[in-house]
Amino acid sequence: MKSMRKIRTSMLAVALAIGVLASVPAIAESKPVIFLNNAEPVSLDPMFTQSDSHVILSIHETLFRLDNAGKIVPAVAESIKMVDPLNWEIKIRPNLVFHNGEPINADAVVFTFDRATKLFAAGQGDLTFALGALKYDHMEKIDDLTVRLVMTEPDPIITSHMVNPELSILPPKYYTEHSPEEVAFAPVGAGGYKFVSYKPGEGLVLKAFDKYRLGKPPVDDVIVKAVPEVATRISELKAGTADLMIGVPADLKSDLEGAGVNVIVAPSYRRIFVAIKQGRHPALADVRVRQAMNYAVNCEEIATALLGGMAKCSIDLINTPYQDPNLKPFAYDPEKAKKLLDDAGWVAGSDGVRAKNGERLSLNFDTTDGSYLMDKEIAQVLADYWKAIGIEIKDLRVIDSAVNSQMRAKQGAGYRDLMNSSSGPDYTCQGDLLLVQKDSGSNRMSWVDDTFESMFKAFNQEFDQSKWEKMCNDAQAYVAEQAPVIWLFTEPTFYGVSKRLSYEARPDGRAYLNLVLKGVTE
Amino acid sequence: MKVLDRPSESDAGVALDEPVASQLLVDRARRSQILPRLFRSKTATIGVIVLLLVLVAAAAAPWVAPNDPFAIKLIQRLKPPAYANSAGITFWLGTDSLGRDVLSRLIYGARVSLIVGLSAVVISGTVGLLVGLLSGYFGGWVDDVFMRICDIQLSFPTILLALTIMAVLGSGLDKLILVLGLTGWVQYGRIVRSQVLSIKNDEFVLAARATGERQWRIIFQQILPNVWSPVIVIASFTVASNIVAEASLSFLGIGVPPSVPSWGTMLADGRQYIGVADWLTIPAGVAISLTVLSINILGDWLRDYLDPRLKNIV
Repeated sequence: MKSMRKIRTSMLAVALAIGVLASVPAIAESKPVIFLNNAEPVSLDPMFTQSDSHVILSIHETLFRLDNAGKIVPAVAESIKMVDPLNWEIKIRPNLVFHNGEPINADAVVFTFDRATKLFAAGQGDLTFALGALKYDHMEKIDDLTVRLVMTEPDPIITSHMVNPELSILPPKYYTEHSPEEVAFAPVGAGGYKFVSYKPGEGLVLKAFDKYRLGKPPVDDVIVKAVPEVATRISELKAGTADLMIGVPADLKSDLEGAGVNVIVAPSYRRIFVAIKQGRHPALADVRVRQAMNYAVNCEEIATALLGGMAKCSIDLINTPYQDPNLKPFAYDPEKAKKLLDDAGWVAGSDGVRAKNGERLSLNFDTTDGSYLMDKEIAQVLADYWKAIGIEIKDLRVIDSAVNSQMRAKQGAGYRDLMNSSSGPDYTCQGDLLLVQKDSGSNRMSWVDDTFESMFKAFNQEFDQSKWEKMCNDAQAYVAEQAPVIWLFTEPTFYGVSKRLSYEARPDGRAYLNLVLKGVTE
Repeated sequence: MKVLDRPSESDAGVALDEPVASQLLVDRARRSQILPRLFRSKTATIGVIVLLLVLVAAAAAPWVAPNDPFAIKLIQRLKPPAYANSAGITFWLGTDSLGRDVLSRLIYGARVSLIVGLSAVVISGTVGLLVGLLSGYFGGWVDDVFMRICDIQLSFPTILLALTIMAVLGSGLDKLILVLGLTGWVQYGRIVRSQVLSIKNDEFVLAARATGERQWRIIFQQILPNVWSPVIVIASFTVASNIVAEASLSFLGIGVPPSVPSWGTMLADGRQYIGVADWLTIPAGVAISLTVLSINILGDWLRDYLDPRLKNIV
């Protein structure tokens, strides 16, 4: 009996020892940081998506980048020099390599810009925004580390267009040997994180790149998981199964903090508005109707009651510091809104809904749920405001974040009458104005205005910076009055961050992982 | 089980034999006893009372609901139960994230649940009944075609099929009813078919044929009255499952539009606030559970009542 007990005790000791030994590597290795994104990536090929900048600029690197303060800084480029208004010479940093070991040199830069041109000409990719902003003819090699960018028209803010993720520099050999379909979810870049694997539903696995130009990022392993529902993202953070989410509802800040999650509230330059799609309902072509819809909205009430007073209502076309402080947003004035609709010939019917020539002022409104702060709730509140002035929202539809990404990528194809939307900052007035410029990929409203187009063209080709402020203010004032969108606010960004993660919020709300993840403790 | 009170039999000149006639009398007597028997069962009585409450609330929602369920008032959002605002209006179940009255939305939500539950049953029951009658009666290639369609439909999980169709058609009450109606007919079709197969060669059907009765009259006047019982039982359970399906699809965001009060959307909207405002989800959850439970209890009782083997027990 005693010997049996001894054997049992010895076996237990051995089992415990094996267990302890087996767990040693697990303790030594840090757990990956889990970032909960709101949608699966459309593509990981930078030229095929505008919607995945978080991950694209974590894997890839552009000639110039925006640092965490929003300043344009050289990245793959070392310097840039204007030879004349149509020719720019760019020096490339020496000794840089891609994740697969290919060198970053003039050939890679020329290849990247050629690829973008060819894809755009063939109607492939998602390059309307990037190539609409940076109007170049071609890129040519001067020597191994010098290239020349030949423009089709002068552009005084050229570097601000080179920060767009679509123009990430790509390794020529890899992207020549593989088709766009093959590389779509197997990217090779020069960014802080190397691609390891991707499976929809399971996540995108990334590993820190030790030869990154700024040094190896402080967090080794990251998994980016798509979790569309805010409630699920919050539950995961509370349960400790995730480390980072963007877009914590203001109401739940204390709830998350009570569960031991840090909530960082950072001001952001993310502009929230409702896009008004032209070419569908005839009423929306009339500036008086669009102005009436703006006057009917009590933006301050939304900002105070729904967003905890942390959003600032404004004509959020241009970001600070270029936003004209004297430009006041549409005041909440339902009576004025009704008068404008009366003047436009839209008369209230027996059910309160206005009509003109037999057509009812009845619109469709699409909203996301969780892509922007309280987006679904705000959409319902807006519908209520418009109902009060005789505009009916006949179908308020919640669309999936991934569907929204696809529609945005196709310049608003699929948008119905109204669509809640946002735009990140460009850090230049000219760049922010692209939101409503007809050739720009970010004008998803199909709003075209000849007066604005001529103002924009003159501004965009003006090299004398002393004239910029007035030109910027004039353009803002004109567009504000034309109301191509429902102006709302620049929203703060609420980040839910686990206790073990150190995070630096950016004012543009973007989560470039190599720049915002500052370390992780176990 | 056959329901033997067929008026057409005497029209057709078929004399009832003695046991059949006495059975007919017994069945008629049982039918007149249905309510007393129902109220003899305590659980069934509770089920009926709860269901009646829900039905009355749904039918009289504009008069019963204390406030406008659509009225958004941001200033009074997320107020707890029994909150009274400055105008002296009390919100007995609190307010939601847009300041709307939870109790009023709960009452109006009953409408959506019952409309969806009942309308979808009418559609699926009608389609299933027709398919089952035709398939069972005619047999041959008609039966083959209908049963293969059944097999195909059964190979898709109902909720997945509904999700796919709703994703294509978009959200809306009408679409939701159509989707649930058209995805739920198979069980009716199969049961009715098997019933038809079991009685189509019975004497009263053969007699009708022998008298030269038209086929559609045989199907609808002779056979149909004899397959009602299982259809009624299935329908009672399907109403409950449709209510749950509506809540599930609305919870997933593809049922009714977000502004329409439904128990599913209330659950979905409230889930992110569960840690700070549980009154947004608990009433809707309780309402779904109680309603479904009541319908299921009633369905159970009905099944037992219509089962000839349990005739003396119920």
